[in-house]
Amino acid sequence: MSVAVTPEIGLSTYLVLASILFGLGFMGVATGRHLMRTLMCVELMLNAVNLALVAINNTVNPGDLSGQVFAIFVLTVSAAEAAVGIAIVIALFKNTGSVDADAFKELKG
Amino acid sequence: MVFSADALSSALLDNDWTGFLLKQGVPFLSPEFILILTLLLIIVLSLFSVGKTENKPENAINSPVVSLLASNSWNLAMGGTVLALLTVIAHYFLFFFNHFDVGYSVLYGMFKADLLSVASRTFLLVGFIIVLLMSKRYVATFMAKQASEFFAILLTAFTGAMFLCGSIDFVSAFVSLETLGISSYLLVGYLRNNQQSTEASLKYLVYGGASSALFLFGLALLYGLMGGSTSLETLPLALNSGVKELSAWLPIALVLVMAGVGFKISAAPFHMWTPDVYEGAPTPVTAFLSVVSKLAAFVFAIRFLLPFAGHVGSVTILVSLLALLSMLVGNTIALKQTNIKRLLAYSTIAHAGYLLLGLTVLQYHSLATVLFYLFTYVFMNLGAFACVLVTSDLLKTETIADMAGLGKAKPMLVAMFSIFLLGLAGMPITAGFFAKLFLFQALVTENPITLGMVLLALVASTVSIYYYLNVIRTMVVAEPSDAVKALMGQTESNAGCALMAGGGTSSLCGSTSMRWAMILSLAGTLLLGVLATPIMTVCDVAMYELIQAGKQLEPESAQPPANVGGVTTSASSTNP
Repeated sequence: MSVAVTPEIGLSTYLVLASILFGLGFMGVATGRHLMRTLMCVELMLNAVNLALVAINNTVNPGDLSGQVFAIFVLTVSAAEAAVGIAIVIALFKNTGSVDADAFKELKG
Repeated sequence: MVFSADALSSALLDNDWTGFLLKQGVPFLSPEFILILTLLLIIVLSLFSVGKTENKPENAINSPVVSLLASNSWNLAMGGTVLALLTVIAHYFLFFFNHFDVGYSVLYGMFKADLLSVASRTFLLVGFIIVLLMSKRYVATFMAKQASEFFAILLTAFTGAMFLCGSIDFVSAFVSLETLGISSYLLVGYLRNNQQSTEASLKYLVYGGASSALFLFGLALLYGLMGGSTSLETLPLALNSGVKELSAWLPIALVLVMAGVGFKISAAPFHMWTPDVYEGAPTPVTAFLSVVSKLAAFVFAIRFLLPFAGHVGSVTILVSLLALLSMLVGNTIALKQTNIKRLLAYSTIAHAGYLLLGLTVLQYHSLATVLFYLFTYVFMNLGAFACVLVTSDLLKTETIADMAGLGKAKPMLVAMFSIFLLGLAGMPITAGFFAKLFLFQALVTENPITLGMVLLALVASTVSIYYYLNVIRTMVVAEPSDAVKALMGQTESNAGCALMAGGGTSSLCGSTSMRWAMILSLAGTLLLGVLATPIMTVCDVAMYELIQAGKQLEPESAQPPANVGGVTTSASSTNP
């Protein structure tokens, strides 16, 4: 049900790990050229937050599960976002024949 | 998030559902329920309309009622929205006759039914009615086959916005923000064979996904700072009693949450998506995004920032930075735009700047002027986009230069367009003038820093008058462009738009619903100026009550929560 936060591994460790994952995801979104990789990086960011939520829940208020419930909501939302994202990438691929972010330059200014 | 299983089980035992629902304040969500039922009905009925056009399944229901309803998804959506509007108006009476000072907490502290949420939902619904009127003929022309899905997704996005207006919990705020966001990505890319539309949709998705992750990370950190509570109502209490390890993270959490909100309201460092999405999206969707999404996100921003009123320093600096950057970026880049939809996108960014200025001072009056500004903005911006929709349909182009001399061909259209643009520029007679006047007045007297920022805002809005008037000048004074000449030729040879509309071709300007959309926006733009005092009073009361509700939760001024009619008010029901 819950991730065990042992005394040796403090909350800040989890938060640092979550921040690193989040930063990697953000880097991927900012620099990635392949659209599927961009979508995966968005998922990585959301899952990094899930890690932070669950860790905070277990340290700060272990009796109350609201952080873990929040994480489940985030999972649901990120699944919906992935489905919509892939649908849009497919529509774009049908129009342009490319999934490279550099190929889309219709809108500028 | 508080879930009391006892209340539910006792309701189950006593079979007292009405009492249970009343106690949870569920009637205050009736507009949302109506909208959700409407969109479910549209989705279910659309299954039957598919069978009608193509190879019909053998077991399809052949009822004339079903097929009639299925082909009328617009009417269904409109009916549901009007019904929802009526129920929201009914809520006003509850507030004025029963004096629910602090409002209701609904759904275990997820949603706050106070005057702020009721007032903002009223204007959201009116704005949505105008969006529906705008989209009727557009959808029938450009996406006739997927019309019912379009309205179902539009209603989903709108329901998310409605919930966002009353969200006082991180979970409900995030879920409603994402309901609004994910449906908006779909709506922007709805012309799926059009490269511009799908490209805009992708850009919106990538920026939106990243910014909602930032928003969420901020919420997660705040959740830790608040000692494991996700309710915004406990934020002022919990800010001081949180984990020490995390206190260094507070400014970071604030910046992250404001990044997510700033994306939705298209404030300056997070505005990159705005011009591209506004240009590529179907015009009714652009109107929807610029008004509905913005109003709902601003109401959430007010709710979110208010608990920080005691710790003003960092919040003021952050919000002022966003405001100044938005005004600067919006107004300067708008000057060199040639596409009318891109121009309105940059004007939206500039308006986000003026509005954020009001959030730097967390006093009830300045927040009330922000709310009033948002209400007037609904009508002015929707009217402007309705005019863009008609103009681009007549001329088959969105370039400002091609609109030259339109005043000679369509004087009424140009007159209306001019009023909306003058309203956005903040010229007298229109409501836009009063909105800017009230906002700047509330800020000028506050302190020297806000005085300086108001002066900057005045300079910025003077610059904005130039690009709004430039559009009007092009339409009225300049020599007719080729597109306008072609249009005039059409009108003279009796193939003009009014006749074409009767023949069911792609002309929008002859459509009755389009005309109503423009008349409603015009009425709003002018009437809100005339009725400025009563509406401003409602805004003031809403904000005053919001602040009072926050104060009741603070320990030193703890008062016994008022019980009205046996129903607990929010102060007592937040933490049983």
